[in-house]
Amino acid sequence: MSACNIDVIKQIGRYYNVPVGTVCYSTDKILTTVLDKESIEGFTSIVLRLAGVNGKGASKEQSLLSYQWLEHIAMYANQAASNPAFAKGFLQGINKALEKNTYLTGQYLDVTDIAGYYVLYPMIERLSVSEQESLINVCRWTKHIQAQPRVCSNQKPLPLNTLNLAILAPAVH
Amino acid sequence: MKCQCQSHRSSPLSLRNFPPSLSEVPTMAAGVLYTYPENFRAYKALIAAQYSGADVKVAPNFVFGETNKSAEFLKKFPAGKVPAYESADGKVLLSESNAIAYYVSDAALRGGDAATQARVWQWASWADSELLPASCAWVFPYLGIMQFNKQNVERAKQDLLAALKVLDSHLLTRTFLVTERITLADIIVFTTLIHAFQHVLEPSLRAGLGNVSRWFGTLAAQARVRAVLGALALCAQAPVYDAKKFHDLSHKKDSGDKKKEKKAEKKEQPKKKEEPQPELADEIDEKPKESKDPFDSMPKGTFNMDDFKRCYSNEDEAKSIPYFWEKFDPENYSIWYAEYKYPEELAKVFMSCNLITGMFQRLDKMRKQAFASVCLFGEDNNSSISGVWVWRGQDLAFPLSPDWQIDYESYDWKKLDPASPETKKLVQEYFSWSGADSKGRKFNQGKIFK
Repeated sequence: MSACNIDVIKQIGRYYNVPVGTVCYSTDKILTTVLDKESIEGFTSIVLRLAGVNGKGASKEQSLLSYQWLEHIAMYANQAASNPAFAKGFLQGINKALEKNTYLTGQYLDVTDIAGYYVLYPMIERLSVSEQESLINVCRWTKHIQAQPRVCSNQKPLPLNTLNLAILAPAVH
Repeated sequence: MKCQCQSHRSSPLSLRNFPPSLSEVPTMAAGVLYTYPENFRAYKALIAAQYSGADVKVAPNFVFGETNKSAEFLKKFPAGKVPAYESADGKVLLSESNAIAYYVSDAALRGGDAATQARVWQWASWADSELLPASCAWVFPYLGIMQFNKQNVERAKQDLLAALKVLDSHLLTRTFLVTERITLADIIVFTTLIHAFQHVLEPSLRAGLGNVSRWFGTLAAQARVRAVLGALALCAQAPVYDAKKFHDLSHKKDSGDKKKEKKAEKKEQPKKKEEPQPELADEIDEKPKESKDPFDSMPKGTFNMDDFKRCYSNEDEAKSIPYFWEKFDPENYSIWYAEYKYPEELAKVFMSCNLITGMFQRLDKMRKQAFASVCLFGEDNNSSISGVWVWRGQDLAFPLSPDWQIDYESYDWKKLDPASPETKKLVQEYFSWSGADSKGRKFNQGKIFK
């Protein structure tokens, strides 16, 4: 089971409303597509290319941060998808990063969050309530990302029980 | 125009399909805001206007204490308070910052349904009743606007921290206060907290309010907020009361006897609304503006930074480090050791490296007269950052320019004695990227500032 797969690419394409070309796996099992007669290989390269049409104006620092997170996700998400024990550590790392940051790259929503959301979706979906509770920052981020326009056009938003609890017992003020 | 008519004729339905946002355009608030500069209350309306697109201009030539006491002003705004708002057609006159901000907002900022709008109101009232009085009573003594009374300041501190704890637990599961986007609630609570974050909420207090800090940082970074505020410098260390400042400020304005009266009154009533800020604005104005190269004012000495950097880049450390010691001019240059204060917060190695290179980038203008080797020790989730810096002058260089002050407060700085063998050893280790940190973590990566 692969996490950074063809479906994720198609979802990102739908989000940005851009064509994704014919996405397939090359003989080396690398995700590949052809856009504007140019062959693009690898999850990160394709995702950045899809966002590039709309993601202009980002600072260099911001685009490098995106690149690093996407590479991080591309490197570990597939193993996390097939191995729940590995997924735990993988998600905890992201949870830690989101403790002090609103978005993966810091203060701005960008393609990293969109791609990250689609990749992590099945992993978060299978978490138990108590596991969700221990990944509270990931859950808050998920709830925020899936509330953004166009993100959930083709799949249901994830039910996040731990957050429902917070709504039933809101902070007193 | 012609084009529009044709489209109506060809598809009469298009009128009905007009997005609702378009129908709001004619009612969009255009007008003038009366305020003194850097008034956090005025920021509410100015930020809201950035989001809604309302055309709100700050009245030019406004003089606090004069304009708002003039007969013309009092006729429109009997309370004589600022900020005050006047619509372009003169029909809408408002005082009270929350009302003004509400007026210049759009539907998205005010909240969609009644329940959401009510929640926005709830936070606005909460900010005024729970945050503002405590924040003023805590911050103003340190700015010299109010007399320092330890007991009062301590109580205000406890009150504000208690309120912020409530906010912190609210934001544990939420990105923004009311909905999944920025609303007027976020803008009002954020602007109310600006003074506290700038002057009294030192890093260790902020660390205990992780969710509030995250939310505050995200708001401060939004392009539309920055358009109004610029870059915010957060409080770097616990504030210190300066009795002289209070004395100077409270005597500076004593010329008018009426004002003196008010000043006395203010001491008893920290909540008193508008008077304290003008001094505050003065305060901020007095800070030095950016200069060209702050190092220019210091003697050049005999150490040539460029030559050393060239040598360091081209030669092996076995050659460049002795070269450094041979040429180094301890009269006019200093060597510093810097250690990142919050190693427990470092997670992924690549993020830590970004922290270092990010700092270097922000210090770009310092490059000419400074050199540093900053190293990351350890691995993911168990690492530390420290480095050795060299620059012109004997004091910490960062306060010289407002552009350099973003990162340095996150580090502990220790001036090194160029003559001591320990310094020789540190320079050797950091310049050649060898050795380990104080906890024995191995060298992982190094970055050179040159």
